[in-house]
Amino acid sequence: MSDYNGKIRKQNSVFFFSGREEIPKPYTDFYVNMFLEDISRSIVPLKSSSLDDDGLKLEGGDAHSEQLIAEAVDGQGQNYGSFGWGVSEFLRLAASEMCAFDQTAFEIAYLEDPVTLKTDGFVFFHIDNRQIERKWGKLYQKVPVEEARKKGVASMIELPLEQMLIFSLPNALKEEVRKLRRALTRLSENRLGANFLEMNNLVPNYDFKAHERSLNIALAQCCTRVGWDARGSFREKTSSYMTVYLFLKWQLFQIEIRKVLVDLFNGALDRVRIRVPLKGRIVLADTPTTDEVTSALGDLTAGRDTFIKIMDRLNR
Amino acid sequence: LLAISGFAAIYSDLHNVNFWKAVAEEWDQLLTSLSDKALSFIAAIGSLGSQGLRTSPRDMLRFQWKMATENALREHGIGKRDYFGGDFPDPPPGTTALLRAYAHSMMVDADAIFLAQYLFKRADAKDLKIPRSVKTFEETMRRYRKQGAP
Repeated sequence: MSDYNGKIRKQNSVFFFSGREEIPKPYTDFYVNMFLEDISRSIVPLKSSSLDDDGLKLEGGDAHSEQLIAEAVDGQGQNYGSFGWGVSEFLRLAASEMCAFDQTAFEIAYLEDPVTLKTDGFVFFHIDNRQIERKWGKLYQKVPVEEARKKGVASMIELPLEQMLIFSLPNALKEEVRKLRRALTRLSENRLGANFLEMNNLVPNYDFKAHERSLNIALAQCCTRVGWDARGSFREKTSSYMTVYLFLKWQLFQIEIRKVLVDLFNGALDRVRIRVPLKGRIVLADTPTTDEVTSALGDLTAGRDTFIKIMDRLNR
Repeated sequence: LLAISGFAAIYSDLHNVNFWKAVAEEWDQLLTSLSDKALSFIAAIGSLGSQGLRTSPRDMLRFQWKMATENALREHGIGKRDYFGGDFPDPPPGTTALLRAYAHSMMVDADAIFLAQYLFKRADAKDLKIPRSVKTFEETMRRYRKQGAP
């Protein structure tokens, strides 16, 4: 229980640092970091020059519910100040962290009015993945003994599942993303950074072209399944057909990630609704659908439409 | 060039050395020698990132600069917000609004900082459409200033 903007925040988990002095591995590997940035930025594409219009809506909601959700996603004190901007950034960061660590977890902390003692708000309180442990079907936050003593809490804090929002990839997708991360980590170690200028001196008969070619082949091999083209790293070497094919696969991958995030977020809102008057579910309007992309993929492989027309159908 | 100029603003604040003055002067000179259309062309380039058109020439190189800058920020106790767990909750006292705003949102890149700090401050740019990333940066910086950041 703690004070939060004049409200009583009721939660089980506690905040403490967990080795944050170092940037975790996924964010130090060049290609992995780039992939994480690309997937998270494409989850909620910027739709206009307006600060509060990403095509993200609260369907069936009202202004009060938007305000409650805006406050909830601001649990880190980022002060986004609006529903659209706040939820968009929240989902982008969730996409990034989920693809980096397989999951990202929040406790739904409820806010109570100190006078009326009524629950009238909530906050998504982030818990570092390294602090979470599953045991005997239950979820716990592991707190180092010294830290637990300082805070006056147990060293294993039980986290009630109905009070958790855990963004986690479905198993098949999780395995796909893990494989991609592993491959990109290895390729990050062999990428053409500034050091390749010195390679001529270090390796006899070093062949830059051969290095570049093998790197591009390896990148293409590991990225094709999700369709990410490493920001066009090997685009000059691929056919137009392949470029469009990758674009469509990348769209399908984004749709899957988007669906996971939106469904889980709405699931959390449904649980919150039991205790807090809250209306509506979030929707991401005007993003490509699975049917649209699958149909485009079918037209591409059957040669039924030109490459440009296929791309245009999905460019919003 | 837009990104390098934005990084000059970041490193000026980070190291308290005024690289930015030299950069702004160079831009003043350059834009004097170019036609009026150059300004809208530069603004249009800056808005590409906002529209999600991610791949552009030398994108890989810019990403290397971005990672290096994030490491430098982190060494100064300022975490760039690319994921939830990565935040340093309280940057050191005296951290400028510019640095805090850059670290605040994953949608803000160095080119947006240049556009916000230089291009859209020019009188002759008042009729140009401000890209979303620039607005995000400006709004965030305003909020940090309100909270007392220099």
